[in-house]
Amino acid sequence: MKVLVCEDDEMVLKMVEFKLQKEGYEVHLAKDGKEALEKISGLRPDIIITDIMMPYLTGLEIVHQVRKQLGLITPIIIVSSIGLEKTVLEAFQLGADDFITKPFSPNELSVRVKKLLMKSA
Amino acid sequence: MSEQLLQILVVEDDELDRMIMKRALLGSGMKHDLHFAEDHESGKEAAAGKEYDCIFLDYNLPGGTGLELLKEIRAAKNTSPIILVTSQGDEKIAVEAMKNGANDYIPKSLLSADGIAQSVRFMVALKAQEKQRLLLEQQLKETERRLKTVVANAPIILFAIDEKEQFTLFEGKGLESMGINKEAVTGKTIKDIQGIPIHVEDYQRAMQGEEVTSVVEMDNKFFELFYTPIHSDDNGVTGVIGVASDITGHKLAEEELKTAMTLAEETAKLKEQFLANMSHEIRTPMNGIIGLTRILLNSQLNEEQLRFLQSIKVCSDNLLVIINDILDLSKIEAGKMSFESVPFRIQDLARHAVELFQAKADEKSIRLVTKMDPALPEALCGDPTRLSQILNNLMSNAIKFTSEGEVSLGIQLRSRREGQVTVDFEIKDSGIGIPEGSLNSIFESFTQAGTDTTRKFGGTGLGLTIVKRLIELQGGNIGVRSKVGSGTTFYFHLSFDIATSKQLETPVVQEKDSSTTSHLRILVAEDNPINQLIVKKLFADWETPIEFADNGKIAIEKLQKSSFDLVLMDIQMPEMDGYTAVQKIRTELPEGLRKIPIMAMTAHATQNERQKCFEAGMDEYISKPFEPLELKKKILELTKSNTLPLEGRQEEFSGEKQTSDMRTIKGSVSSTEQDDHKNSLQKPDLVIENPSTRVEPVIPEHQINLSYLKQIAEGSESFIIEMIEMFLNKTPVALEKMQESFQQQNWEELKQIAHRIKPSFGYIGLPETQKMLAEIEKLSDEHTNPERVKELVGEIQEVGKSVFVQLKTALTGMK
Repeated sequence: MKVLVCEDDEMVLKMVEFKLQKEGYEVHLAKDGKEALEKISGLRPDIIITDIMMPYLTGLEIVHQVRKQLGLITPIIIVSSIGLEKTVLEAFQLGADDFITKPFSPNELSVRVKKLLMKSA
Repeated sequence: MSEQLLQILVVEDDELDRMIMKRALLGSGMKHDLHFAEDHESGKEAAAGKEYDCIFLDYNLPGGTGLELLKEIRAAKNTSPIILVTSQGDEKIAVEAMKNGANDYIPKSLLSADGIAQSVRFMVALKAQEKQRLLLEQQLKETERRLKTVVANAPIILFAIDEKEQFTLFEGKGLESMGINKEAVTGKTIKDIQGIPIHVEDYQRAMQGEEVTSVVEMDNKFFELFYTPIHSDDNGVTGVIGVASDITGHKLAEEELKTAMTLAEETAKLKEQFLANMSHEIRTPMNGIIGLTRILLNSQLNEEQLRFLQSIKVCSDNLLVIINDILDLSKIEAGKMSFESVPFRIQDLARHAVELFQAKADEKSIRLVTKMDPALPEALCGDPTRLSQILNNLMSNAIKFTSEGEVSLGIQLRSRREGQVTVDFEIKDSGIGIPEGSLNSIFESFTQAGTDTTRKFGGTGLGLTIVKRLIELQGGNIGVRSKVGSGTTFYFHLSFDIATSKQLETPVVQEKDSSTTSHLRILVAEDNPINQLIVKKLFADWETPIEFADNGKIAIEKLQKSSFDLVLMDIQMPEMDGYTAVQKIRTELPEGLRKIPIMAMTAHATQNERQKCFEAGMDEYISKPFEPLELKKKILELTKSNTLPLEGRQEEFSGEKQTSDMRTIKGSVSSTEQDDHKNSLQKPDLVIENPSTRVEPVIPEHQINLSYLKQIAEGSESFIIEMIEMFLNKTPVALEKMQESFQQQNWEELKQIAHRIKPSFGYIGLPETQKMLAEIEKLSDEHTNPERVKELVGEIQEVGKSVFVQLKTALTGMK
């Protein structure tokens, strides 16, 4: 199972990577929106986890691109900061599958990942 | 007596004398019935078996003398007064007649009307007197006989002792039981006789004129004795009369009663103790089950595991309800149920009661309806907890036994006067109903309608009993109407005082857990590893730094070493229990540490236990297993004064700044090797030692806490090192940039930097700093209050410096 994590903060990235690797996933990282999009089309990950605020392309734009341009149904989890409810709603409208609020518990993230993967399988 | 018809017999052979007698009697004016006999033989016949008021006997009679006849009459036990009539004043005969039972004599010469009348009257009076005397004598004999029977048969000893200490009387059945021979005692003195409960001292006191009562134990028997002095006419004491009774039976019964009472008291105590223990014994593992289930539910599970786990949760929640029911019932039975009187909003309470069952109702496709009387006062004064318990119980029943249709809760104002209202409650369902025959017994313990109900619907059968008692104890009444197949209605009424809206505290509606405890440092004294695990997980979710102490003693040591905002204290711990620890904290620690808020956290759920906790000096009490939100609420209430406005805390910090840098910082890795893994998760992440300023509060919000990282790391130290290094690499640069952006008034950049570095501070356990960054982010987005932004940016720089030092030290410790 390939997981793509798009996040510009390297500590968050490291944290998620560490946790998901331990769960047995193949974790790929993207530090900005551009890299993210490239890896999505190249790697075809089974699930995408993306932050909203990132250089070049925001998480919302990634969702839009994945669904409209690439036409993929890959599950997407949006990682958002507290108090951005509006953005979360927007993300759902664009086609995101789940969201998780920062700061999040890595355990929670891993449960959500697993749930989405089971659903899409 | 003159009205009486007198029966008079005259035995006289001389007809002339009879005539004289007849005339004399007629002349006397006395009403009478005169009988004549003319000789000895007929006289005897006339007197046989008949009592006369007077008999006149002539001395000279054919067939025998009057004297002879007199003897014969008396020999026949005839007591009629007899007057002998003599011819010629023969004194000798008269004397002889009197000796033989004649009452008087009269010479014939005196047989005049007056003389006879006088004699007869005298005889009649004599007879009446005699009759009276006989009656009295008979009564006396009867009384004496009764007394003798009583004395002889009463299980007592009646005795009299004269002034020479000699027994003059010794009677009663009691003698037998004492094995005393009456004859052997009478005439002897007290001192002569052994083996009787009569004591010479008591006798002597009675001889002084005192009434004496004493209880004497003799040969395993108990005797109660009364001594009464016998007073002579001149008021001297001539002796003592006394009663001794065997009270061994009473005494034994009394002892038995005492034993029974002690036993009953002990049993009651034991029962209370048993319940407390049982509740503790059950709650402790339940705490583990419920807490760990809660944690597991949040972990990765496949569907089957999730389903099983949810069943475990339902089962354990039910079990907890049962335990609470049993505890409640025993509290009610013991008369220990008490009720609060606090203001509450009836609307809110009803809404909560319904909301609680919404999910269940939706699941079964039952409509839930609430009908509130608009005339109800907004705020009432009563026991909202117990009222909720009642409503929840009835609602839960209603839903349980209903498979379609609706369940409604109706609340109506019945009457209102002088600051009081009576409210009618009605819980109505369209369920299976209750057979008429069972309606009366459904409120009894362990009874449900029909024997298969329990099997089909579950439940202890205690719920309605508790509900009924709770309502009745609050002065209300509950009733039920039902028809099989068309539903059941429970109705009850309760009276409340009307509360003013002002009396209501802060809004009852709690904001949905937006509160945080992350600014607090909490010490948890708890020895049970499972409980530790649960508490750890809970506080990790709340991002709240905690430290564990395995017993009361360690807790006190830790309190002295570093600063905490709150202590959660288990009661049963090895070495030093919670009570002792609290007492020591409250009395033996330095002033500044004594007042720390302490919350008891115990599996003992009795009122008694609660009371004991408060008496020991605890500020709050929560019973395990607890609802996480309840714990949080209580923690926040206890530490209210800690949530100072941000500025206040910062001033506090800057004032402390200089010393804080000098503190020795020790990483957790320095804890002993043998328990490294387990303890590295639970033991202090950072212990700040500062002997010189031990009493002063350490500022927790700028002290790093690596528990979060460690929890993620699950033992991987290299991960922690990597994360810390990452932080140390990027944050100083970011902070510098932040300063720059601020100076250039580049709000957008400032906002982005603050946003980006915010999570990192969370990882190293600095939620307070995260809050500051969030504020910077918000303010720079709004372009408002640059003064405050400046202040915050400056603060962050300072915090950063302190944090870098701390992290580096921790890093060195690890490498």
